[in-house]
Amino acid sequence: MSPLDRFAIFAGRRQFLQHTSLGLGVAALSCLGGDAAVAPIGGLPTPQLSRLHIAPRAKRVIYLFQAGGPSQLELLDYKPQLDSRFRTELPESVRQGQRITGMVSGQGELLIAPSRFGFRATPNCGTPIGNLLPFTQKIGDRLCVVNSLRTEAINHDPAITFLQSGSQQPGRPSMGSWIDYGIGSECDNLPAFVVLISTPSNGRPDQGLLSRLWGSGFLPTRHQGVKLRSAGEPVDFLANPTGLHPTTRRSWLAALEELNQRRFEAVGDPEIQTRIAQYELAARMQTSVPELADVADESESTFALYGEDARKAGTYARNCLMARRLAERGVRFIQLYHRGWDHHGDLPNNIASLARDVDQASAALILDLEQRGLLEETLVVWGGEFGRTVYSQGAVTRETYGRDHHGRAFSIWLAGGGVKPGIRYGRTDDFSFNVIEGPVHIHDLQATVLACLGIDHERLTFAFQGRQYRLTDVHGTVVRDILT
Amino acid sequence: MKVLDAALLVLLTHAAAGAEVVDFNREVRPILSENCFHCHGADAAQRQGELRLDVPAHAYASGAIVPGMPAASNLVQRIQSIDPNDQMPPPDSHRALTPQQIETLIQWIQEGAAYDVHWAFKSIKRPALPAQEGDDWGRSAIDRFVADQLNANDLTPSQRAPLPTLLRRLSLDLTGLPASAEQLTRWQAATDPAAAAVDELLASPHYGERMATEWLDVARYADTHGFNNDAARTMWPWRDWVVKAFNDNMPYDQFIAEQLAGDLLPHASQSQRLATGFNRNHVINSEGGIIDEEYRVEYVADRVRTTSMAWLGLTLECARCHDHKFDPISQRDYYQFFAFFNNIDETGEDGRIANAAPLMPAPSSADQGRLRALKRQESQQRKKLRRLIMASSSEPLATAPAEGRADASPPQLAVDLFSESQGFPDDGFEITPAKPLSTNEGWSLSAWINRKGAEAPVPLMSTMNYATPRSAGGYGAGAEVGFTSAGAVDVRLAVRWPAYATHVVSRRELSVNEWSHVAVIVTGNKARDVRIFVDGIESATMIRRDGLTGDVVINEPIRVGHTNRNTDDRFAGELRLLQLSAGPVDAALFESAIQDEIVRDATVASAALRQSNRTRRFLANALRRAASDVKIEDAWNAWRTTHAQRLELERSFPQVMVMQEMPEPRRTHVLLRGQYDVHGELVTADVPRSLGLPLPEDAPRNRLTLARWLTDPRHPLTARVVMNRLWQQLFGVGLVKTASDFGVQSEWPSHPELLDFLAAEFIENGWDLKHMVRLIVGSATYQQDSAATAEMWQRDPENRLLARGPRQRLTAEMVRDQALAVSGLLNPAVGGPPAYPYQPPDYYMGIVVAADYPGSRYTVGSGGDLYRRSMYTFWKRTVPHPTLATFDSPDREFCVARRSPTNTPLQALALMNDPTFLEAARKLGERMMNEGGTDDATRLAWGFRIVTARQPSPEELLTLVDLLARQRRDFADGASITDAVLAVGDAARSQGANDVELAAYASLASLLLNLDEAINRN
Repeated sequence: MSPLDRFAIFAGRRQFLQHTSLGLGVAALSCLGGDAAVAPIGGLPTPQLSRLHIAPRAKRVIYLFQAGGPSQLELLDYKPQLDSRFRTELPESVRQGQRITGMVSGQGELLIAPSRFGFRATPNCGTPIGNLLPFTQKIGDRLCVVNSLRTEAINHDPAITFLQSGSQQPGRPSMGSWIDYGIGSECDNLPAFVVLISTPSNGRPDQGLLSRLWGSGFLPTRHQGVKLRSAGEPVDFLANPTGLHPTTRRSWLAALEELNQRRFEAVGDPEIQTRIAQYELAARMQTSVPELADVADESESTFALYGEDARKAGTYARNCLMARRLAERGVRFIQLYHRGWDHHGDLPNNIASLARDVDQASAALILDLEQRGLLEETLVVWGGEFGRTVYSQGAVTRETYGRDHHGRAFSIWLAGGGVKPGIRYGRTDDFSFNVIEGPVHIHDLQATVLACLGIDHERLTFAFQGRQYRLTDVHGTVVRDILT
Repeated sequence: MKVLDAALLVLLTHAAAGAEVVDFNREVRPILSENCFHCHGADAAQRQGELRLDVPAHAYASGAIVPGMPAASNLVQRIQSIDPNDQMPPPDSHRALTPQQIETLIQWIQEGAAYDVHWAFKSIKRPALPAQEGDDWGRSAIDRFVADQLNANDLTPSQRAPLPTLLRRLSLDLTGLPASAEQLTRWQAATDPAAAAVDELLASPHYGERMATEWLDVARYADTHGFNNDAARTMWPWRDWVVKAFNDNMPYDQFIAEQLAGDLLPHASQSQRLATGFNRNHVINSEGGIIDEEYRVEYVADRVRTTSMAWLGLTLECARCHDHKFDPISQRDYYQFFAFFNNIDETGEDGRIANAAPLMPAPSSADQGRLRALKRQESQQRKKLRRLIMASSSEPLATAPAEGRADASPPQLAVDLFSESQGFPDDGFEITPAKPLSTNEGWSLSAWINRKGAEAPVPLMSTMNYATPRSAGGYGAGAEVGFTSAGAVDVRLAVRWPAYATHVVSRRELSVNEWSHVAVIVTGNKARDVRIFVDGIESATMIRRDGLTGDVVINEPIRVGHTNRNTDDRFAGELRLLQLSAGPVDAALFESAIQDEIVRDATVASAALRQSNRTRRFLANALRRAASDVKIEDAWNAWRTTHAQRLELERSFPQVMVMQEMPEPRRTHVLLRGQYDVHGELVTADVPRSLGLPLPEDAPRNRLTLARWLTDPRHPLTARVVMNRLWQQLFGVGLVKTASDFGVQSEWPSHPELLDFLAAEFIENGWDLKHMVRLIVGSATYQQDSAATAEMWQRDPENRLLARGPRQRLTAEMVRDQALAVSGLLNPAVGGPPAYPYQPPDYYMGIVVAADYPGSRYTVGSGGDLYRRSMYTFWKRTVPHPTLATFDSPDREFCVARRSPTNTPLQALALMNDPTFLEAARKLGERMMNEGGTDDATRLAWGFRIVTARQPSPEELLTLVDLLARQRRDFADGASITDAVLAVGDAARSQGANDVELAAYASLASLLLNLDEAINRN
């Protein structure tokens, strides 16, 4: 017997599947009060991997995506030397002819804009974190800050698509879909891959999101992320029509199952049984999703932890709280997006506002997961699709400046399931322009996330159009140095 | 999935077991391709140890394979080795051969290691029909091939499907709509019900819609541009072209030629040029700051991907960065193919608020008729006018007034840019307007022009900024009026030329060496707000670009007779009375003022002007104004009215994106590593040589030649690929399961000879698609019952052996269209602009860009718009419509040759609670009460038949009657309120009926729509 068989993650799923085939139908129907005969259900498809490739460090991922490209220079990559270079030209020795976006390529000068905000070193580990993130500073010793992320993309759409699907062009499955496809769900009444979106408190975001970011590409669409909406129903068409009594629905469902079952007996198509099972799952979701979305059972101390914003649906803080609730329920991949980090102009004011939106709740999520014993089995990633330039887009003063997109070096942090706490990984040059130590490419990050879940990124593949595809394309190396 | 494929392989090889000799294509190539060719194949860059196993000569010469002598073959030693340093495939490749595969390779070498051309690259030959054996099941050719395979597997075909089930299957497959009760009854009464149904369905306008829906996935049709901004685009006239082409049963070779190269066909018609929109359906990015060339290259690559997937069934895109690893396609081949599509004048960043250039007007056929009628009328009226004028005087000029009319009221001129008292300098000059002009406020310009011959376009006046670097802010902002080399008036308004610009060109062209009066008025930012007048008469215009995103302000020096582009574009003719006026102008008043001005100015103009023949037209007009001849006045007014109506009609035409070659072809390079800016060798357009069908030596290397090549009867792929997709459409899985890949990595066909038969039959019958549809749906194979034993479902879950009929879940479109049809809500109108059915409120919120681009807000339609067929639903790429997306419709960001149907809880929720289905249930419930009879059982049976086409069994009916009683009780005693189901949707409520009854029936109707049987073609 392979030692891998002992992993709880799979044992848990097996128990669940047994539960599914033997008991869940009963459970579902009993909670609906029906009296129809119970058919064995094989409703939920089995995952692609029958066995994990490597020892897993985490069971799930919470990805706190900061869409628009937060500036590493203000938040996570401390460059005190820049002060003395205020308004000086970016040395050609640094730029090395690298391409820059169409937005500044016509600008005569590329003048250095030092960060207006200070940093503080985290006690014990020393990781410097920007003063715009006071709450994050307090949990610095739980974080693994990576300063050396790299991407080839320099525009939002290709960059986000690249980070989430491994390709700049549309058409590939997103990370959450790959994971659902690979190892499936731990949860019998919620989707395995859930998406939550928030918009900045300071106004309207310039950049759109795209449903392909949580799409399943060429994988079956059942692996796509399910977006929980903050306005209206959390899941499309979840609620029964207002005024329809549960008993009315129950007898209706029982008759539907009976007729479908008869049809199965006549035709033999196993998909009919899957359909029956999906109606049962849908009924369970009608209970579980509103329960999930209703935070009335949260204590005052929880709201104190996440901040007052968490009382309001649709905020980043609420979504962080929801992420914890989803993690508790065993959802595999929890994808948050907070939009609005695209600060081409007046960056100091804009970034301060965005930092306020996300700082407390991000830190709270880590602490909350920790105190509930979930942090060690949950990988949390915080970051955007690229960073921003050290030189200003438009005029630069001590007070204000803008920054353009920058993919050659940017920073993110990771915490929890499988990554070393209290470390910094990788280094950039004095301008935060080039990586000079420990480069981590987008594909490396993806490989590392999969590794935390026990998946070898080279072996989670899908045959499509004559080729074996994978999340990391033909690249990617696990960043072992940051793993426990 | 793997297990299933393996099971099939066993079945198929079992069928071939009698032969015993190893078949290279079927058994050996897949092993080599999957495990060896990656490092020992066509891709030179990846090749290890100088070894090629894909070319026999190399494999033999290297000693890897010694024909007839496995023991001496290095390959055999290596694949059997257990030494990790020696073992093949190497352990780190994560590939491994099974013992059977090793055995197969050994046997193959033993038998002489003969290679063979990949089956799909061999030309298509009509195969001989297998002998008819046993009973008389299935007399058609299709059935003979299927029966042969079944016999080999000791299987027997299923009996014919019950007639109602078969008729419903046919109706859904051929039109996407269920058969009505009336149709069912009529067909069932026919001598040959299935044949009667097929005849009627193939003639239905909904046949074209059904076929088009499949094609729109391949052609990645959508109503928005995709990417971050995802603004709306107008391509629906192209979509309507597709529907019509299928309904007209356009021969499929022509269907290909018109879409690929309609613009290049001799005397290309409006419709043929519209067809080329196929190659403009790709996503277009308008994100600020992107690098134009990077995305322009992406668009061309998308055309290659789509064309090759649609008709070649090859993944050419794999050769974009390096030689194809499996198929004999080099990177050079890729860029030669790329060159066919690399020659249109397009920009990477475009489409922020409208379509991207090149454009063409695409009037509906009704509007085309209206246009023809107006033109005819105009021509008659002009003739009459001329006759009257000629009769009135032989010397019109003599009667023209000597001086300008006293009551003439020329527009308020803000700037008198140039008058004849000044000499016009060769290099032009600059003048600053007294106050800024803006397109929002409007302005107009007029001048007398005497053009000299010009090879290149020339400017009349320009504020367009070409001096700033192209990639910088401010580049290409401004206004410009000039002349094309042919003499048409060319007006450009831009915030960033060329992407965000309005560009309009007059149809009238000014002759050289003749005086003409030109006037332009601008009343806004849209192309339709630009009006051009020549000799006082408005000219029709052609819209080149219509994507101006904001106001264009002129507040800087206006360059007269030149631009600041670094070229020799200089106006070289004569110029008089160039005037520019600011402010909003009413086009009709303006026109009249210009005409007065012309009369005045023409009479004071030079002798040369007065003598010119060219001036007859406006002098006739002058005469008309001077001579107070009522008959002339009336004739003139009649023509003017018609002329204005025609121009107004033309301005209303939607503009669609089409293919149009640039006069000077763009050079195509191999792009090293696929990167847009790393140019390798120069290539010219050509097709991959390895397919064994070179282009004719003397044929021009253009898209038309490519289309002719694809439809050459000797082409090995096109007909097979198209027939396979048709089979997939009707059976759920293609004869080749990998519908978009016929390369060496493709799956072995389940019935290779049947596929070749279909392809040959298709070509020999003039690419007649309806003939092929009729042939397939008329086969006993298609008409089998889809029910089967548990054992058969397990043995052949995908029905690859065809021992039963196809059972497929309805497509997303069919699920909704069926609900609309059975409830009587369906609006069957064919074609037209997109529809906006129910969608949850604020569905785009949180996702779309904040800017209010067209298509970034969704407003639910009303009336009949709510009930259009689903293929017309506004297709927003970044936020697909939930009712469709839940049932697996693709977002259409790129070519999709096969949808994968899923079975999810979200589908259950949608069918139960989406207002679309609840409203349909309410109306179907009403129909059951109104049309279904008088008692519960009859009504329920009627409803059941409307949805499933068959009568319910007594047990089924009992379940329904019982449920109806329970639901009725719940609504009657108030446990559930009737409005829960009756208040949904816009459709009017049936008057007079009891709410409790209506609600109970609506609930039962909803149940019917949720039946697994209802959402499947059985």
